[in-house]
Amino acid sequence: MFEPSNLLLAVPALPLLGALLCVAFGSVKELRKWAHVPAVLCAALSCAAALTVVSNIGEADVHFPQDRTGEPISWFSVATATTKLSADFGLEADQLSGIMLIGITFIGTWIVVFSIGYMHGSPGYPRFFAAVSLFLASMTLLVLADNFLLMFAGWEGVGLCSYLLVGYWHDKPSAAAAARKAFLVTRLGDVGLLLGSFLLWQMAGRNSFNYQFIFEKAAEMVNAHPYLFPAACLLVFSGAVGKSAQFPLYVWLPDAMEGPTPVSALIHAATMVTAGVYLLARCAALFTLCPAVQATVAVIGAFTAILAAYIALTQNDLKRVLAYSTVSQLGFMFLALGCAGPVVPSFAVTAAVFHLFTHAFFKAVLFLSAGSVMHAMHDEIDMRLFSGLRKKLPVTHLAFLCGAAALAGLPLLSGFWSKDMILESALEAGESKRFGTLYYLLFGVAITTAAMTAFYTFRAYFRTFWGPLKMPEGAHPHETWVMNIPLLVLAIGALAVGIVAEPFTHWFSHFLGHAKTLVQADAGRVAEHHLNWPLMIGSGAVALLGIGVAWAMYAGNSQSADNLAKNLKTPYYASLNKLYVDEIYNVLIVQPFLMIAGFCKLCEAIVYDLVRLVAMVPRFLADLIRPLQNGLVQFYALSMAMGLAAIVGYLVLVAK
Amino acid sequence: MITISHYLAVGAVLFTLGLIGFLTRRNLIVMFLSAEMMLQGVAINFVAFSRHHGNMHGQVFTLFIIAVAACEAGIALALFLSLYRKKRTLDVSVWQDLREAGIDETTDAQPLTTTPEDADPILTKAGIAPKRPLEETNV
Amino acid sequence: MFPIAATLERLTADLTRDLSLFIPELILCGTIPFLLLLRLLFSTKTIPLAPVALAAVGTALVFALRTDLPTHGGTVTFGGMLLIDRFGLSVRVALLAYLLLAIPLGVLTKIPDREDAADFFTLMIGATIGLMLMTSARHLLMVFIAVEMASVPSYALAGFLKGRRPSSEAALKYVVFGAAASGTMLYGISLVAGTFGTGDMEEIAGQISYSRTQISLSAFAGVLLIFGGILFKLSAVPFHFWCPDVFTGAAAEVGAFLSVASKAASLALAARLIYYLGGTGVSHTNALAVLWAIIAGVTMTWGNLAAFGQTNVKRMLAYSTIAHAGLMMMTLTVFDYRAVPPLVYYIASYLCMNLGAFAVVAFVRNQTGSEELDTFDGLAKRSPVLALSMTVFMLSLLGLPPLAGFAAKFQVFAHLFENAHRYQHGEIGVFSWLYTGLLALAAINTALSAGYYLGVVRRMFLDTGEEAKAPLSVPFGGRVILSVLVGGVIALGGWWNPLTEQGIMAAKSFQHKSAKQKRLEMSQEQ
Repeated sequence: MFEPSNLLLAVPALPLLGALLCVAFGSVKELRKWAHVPAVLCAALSCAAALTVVSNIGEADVHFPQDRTGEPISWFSVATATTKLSADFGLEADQLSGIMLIGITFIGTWIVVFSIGYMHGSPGYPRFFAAVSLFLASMTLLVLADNFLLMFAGWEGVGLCSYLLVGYWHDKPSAAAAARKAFLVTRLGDVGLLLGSFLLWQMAGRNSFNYQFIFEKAAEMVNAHPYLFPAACLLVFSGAVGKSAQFPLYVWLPDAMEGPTPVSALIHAATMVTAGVYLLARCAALFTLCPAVQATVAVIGAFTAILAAYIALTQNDLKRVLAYSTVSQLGFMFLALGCAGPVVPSFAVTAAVFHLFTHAFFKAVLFLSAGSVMHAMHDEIDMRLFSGLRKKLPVTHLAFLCGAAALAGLPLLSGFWSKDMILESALEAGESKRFGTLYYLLFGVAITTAAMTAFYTFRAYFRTFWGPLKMPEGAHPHETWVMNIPLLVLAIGALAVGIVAEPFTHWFSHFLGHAKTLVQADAGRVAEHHLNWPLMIGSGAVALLGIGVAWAMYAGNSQSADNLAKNLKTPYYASLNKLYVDEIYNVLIVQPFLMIAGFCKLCEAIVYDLVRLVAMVPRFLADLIRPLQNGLVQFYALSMAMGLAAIVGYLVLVAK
Repeated sequence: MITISHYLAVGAVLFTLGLIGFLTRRNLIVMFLSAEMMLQGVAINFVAFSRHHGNMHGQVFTLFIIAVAACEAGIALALFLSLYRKKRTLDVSVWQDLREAGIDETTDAQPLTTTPEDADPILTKAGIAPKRPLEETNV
Repeated sequence: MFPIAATLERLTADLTRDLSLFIPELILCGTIPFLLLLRLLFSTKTIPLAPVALAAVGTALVFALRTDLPTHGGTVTFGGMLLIDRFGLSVRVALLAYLLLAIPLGVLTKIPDREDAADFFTLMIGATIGLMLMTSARHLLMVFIAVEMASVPSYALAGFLKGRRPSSEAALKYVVFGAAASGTMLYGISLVAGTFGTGDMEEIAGQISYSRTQISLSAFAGVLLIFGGILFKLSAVPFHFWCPDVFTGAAAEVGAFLSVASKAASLALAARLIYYLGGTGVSHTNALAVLWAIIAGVTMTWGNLAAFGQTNVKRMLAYSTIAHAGLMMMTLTVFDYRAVPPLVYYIASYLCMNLGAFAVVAFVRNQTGSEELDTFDGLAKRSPVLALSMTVFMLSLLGLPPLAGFAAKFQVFAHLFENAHRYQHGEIGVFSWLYTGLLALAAINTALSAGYYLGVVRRMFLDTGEEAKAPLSVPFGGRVILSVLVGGVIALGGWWNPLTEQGIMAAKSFQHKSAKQKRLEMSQEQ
């Protein structure tokens, strides 16, 4: 029972069970306030199972069903002579999914614990935990699936849960709108992903959606379809763009902050939004074959990174700063992914996944701290309304500081190491013949972004925790252990996970480098691991510079910041208004769509009226015949007699 | 010579008279008597055919017709009695409550005369339990 | 038929066999005086009558199921009075099954109170005996007696809600028209029996076949008058006027009886009458077929149209009954043995779904005291059980897959379609057009009926009504009955084969006859 393959099934199954139990608890009035129990238990057990599974990777073949020769469990299957459209319920844990699993289940568990305190007394308490558990199930399914279709099922599952949780306070119009926006915008990308998957299936001989099967045919496919193959990769990438909030589809993520803060931490920072990164890492064997696509990925990543960082500079909403920071950091990861090819893929992809991993920790802790602040500040999150909270919320302050330092890339902290790897990838990619200059340019963008990151992170930190004590009305700052423990655990992770995992031992890259897809993508090239001291010193200096500027501008009074804003009006307002992207989209996309929709509505109204007109006919006829039923016995008798006489008379006298 | 046709003609006339009476009379009892008259026309038919064919089939039919007519008459008259108790009239046209919704009641220019209250004889009650707990019926 | 010594001897010789085939009816006959005696001798408080009645019906059903019959044709019993064959048997089983469900339903909805119980069950069982005889009548005398035996208790049932004016009015209308209709039918019987010199329908059929050209005018008029009587029982246009009023006034349980049991038996009788009196290949056959087709089409359309805009559920269901009667009559427009499987299937499906609909009406009425459609507003919130089962019944009546109504309708349509195809190249190609037209009309009607069936569903789920209403409770037994009926609707909708096989077996009793008639015709040609 406790064999790795069975545990593998338990990883998604347990949270699913938890979700069902939460629903069951929710339907019993007395149990409603205990609805977190199944969620926490199942998440913790799932985490334990995941850790066991991961410890077995590399030693045993972790695959479900375990017996490889055995028939896989068929999900559905439609087969003709030449075509086989089938999907198996196959789970497989390799190094890549292993790392994802640790992040999802470990951080997920602590966030669920944090939610107990944060969501306490909220209406729909069981609904929250049911949705979070369902999310964990879908997310683990997504990373464990061994084929595109099952992965897509998980992919849609997390999208659904994201929708449910962003719109958790569904009676709030902005939350409902944000949920809809998140769902629809990611849907755009999802269509691409589905098309891409089917294109790959088609090119691979219409046989299987299995990753390994398709990857093995990658070289043949790229020769046979020199244009279609990159197109398929681009389509898959569009799915990642939607889910991981990259330009131009990033607009949903800042709005998604309408959801409860633990959700922002779990789904919109640590896990779901990284699904795109996971997908591209998983498909590294495909993407490395198309340098142009890789360059596109890198450009979009870098562009998103600097764009989001620029917007984050001036945001006043603490959670929005973090949201844009997430978008920006995801851009970093895509930049690294785009470098795979020019750089040894296992190195570049490792950089991306490593950043994903560390980012999950420090962004989760940042969001949870923000949530803690929000909880204390009576659901107020505008940084202009509070400051100097470090004495009132000591644990939160400490945790936020750890997260912020890691995000800013302060030397020796986890964010520093992973960001360093990404920068190094970009730098190395600049030495390649094709697109070399481009990658140098991207490196420049990245290092600028790093400085901006340090600045806006610490701007938020100083404005919240330093300066004179200021609180909105109704705030009653307090911290509870159920929220503090997860904060501290994750804060330690944010500090230490980087230095433990990679820089001196290279444990992480060695582990990940054995993933089949990366081995295949490497095609025999070997990644060199060395510490690039000049780069490290440089990036450390940049981070310190950013922090220093933030200190100078915001630690005391923010007079200098206001002056600067006055002097640089145009860039300031551009950033504050998010570069007017929402407005541009509104004019370019939403309004035309609304016009088309209005036209359709008009057509529908006409059709509807026509249908109603037709429906009038029977009613009219009914009104003609109903008066005959007037209740008079003798009228009835006469009618029947006349009817009989007519029938008999006609048939006997005329027809005969 | 009286042939079978003559008998059949009498039967047909009786039947038709019954039918006309059924259609035109308003008194419940007269209506029902007319319906019974239709049956008598049929009975004459059967007897005549029985004689014509020289077998007893028609006679048997007639016996059954008489028996069944008695049954029908029994149940119909019992019903009419209870109807009369409710509205104090045998006029069939007062019973038109069951009709299509939204159709006006057909008013009667010349209603049948209603009999005064005490004209109704008090009958002894049948059955064993005269006091029936009404509340058990949910209708 | 009359006791010259030889006939009497034959009659007594077959008596044991005949009686053994007649056991279900005998049990029911015995139950009636038994129930009345029980009430007379014991206090009804100590002896509950419903279980007794139920046990009797159950036993009758068991015996009916165990009846041993030849696969082809049937057994002629009681000197030619009755024909016990598989077709009649399948309808008889349906009738008994109906009683088995309707008796507990009546007890649960408390239509008979403690004193009335014996009367109620007696009337129900008595009427059912009449209906069972209708399904197996082979002699015109039997036709008359059976129809009367079914009708007279039905009159009393319609007025069973003593002291309630609508109920009395319903009984009045039913009894007055019923008497006139039976008189008319009887006149037809006298003409037919007199012309052919016998009441034995098999003999009459033989004589019609021999005549080959035309039957006398009086006989044809008689045939038409007999059909008039049957059409009255079927509430076909223009003899439908009594139906909505009677259904509205009578209790829902009685409405269910009139709409399900009475219709089933009448259809069986109509099938036999058409088979025997319609003749094959004679001049009046086609006239009858056209008449039947037109009446079926008009009845169906009329019922569906008039059901629009009804405010009373029972009245709406009455019109729905009229429409379904028209649909079932469509099977008989081309009567040969192929018509039997769809007919039997329709009867069984209709039993489940219509009894179910009336049962829901009865349960709702018991707690709200109202049978208006408004009462169903927001029923889904007040009682999900009732609302869900009503939805199933309505959708099935409408004929949506995968419910019984769809399966039944599909078979009827397929039967018509086959016939339209079969007649395409014959000498009477016009019939092909007739059936195609009927088919198109039936399709339009299905769309029409969606208007009011779905209206009920919409009321239950979407309209909430203004004030919050108290939830309704359904007794446990009621839940059982409803789930049996819903289960029946779903099972019949999803699993056609067993019942269709029964229908095919029932059809064989007719198939055999036509072969015999063919032999007759062949011998005549030689």
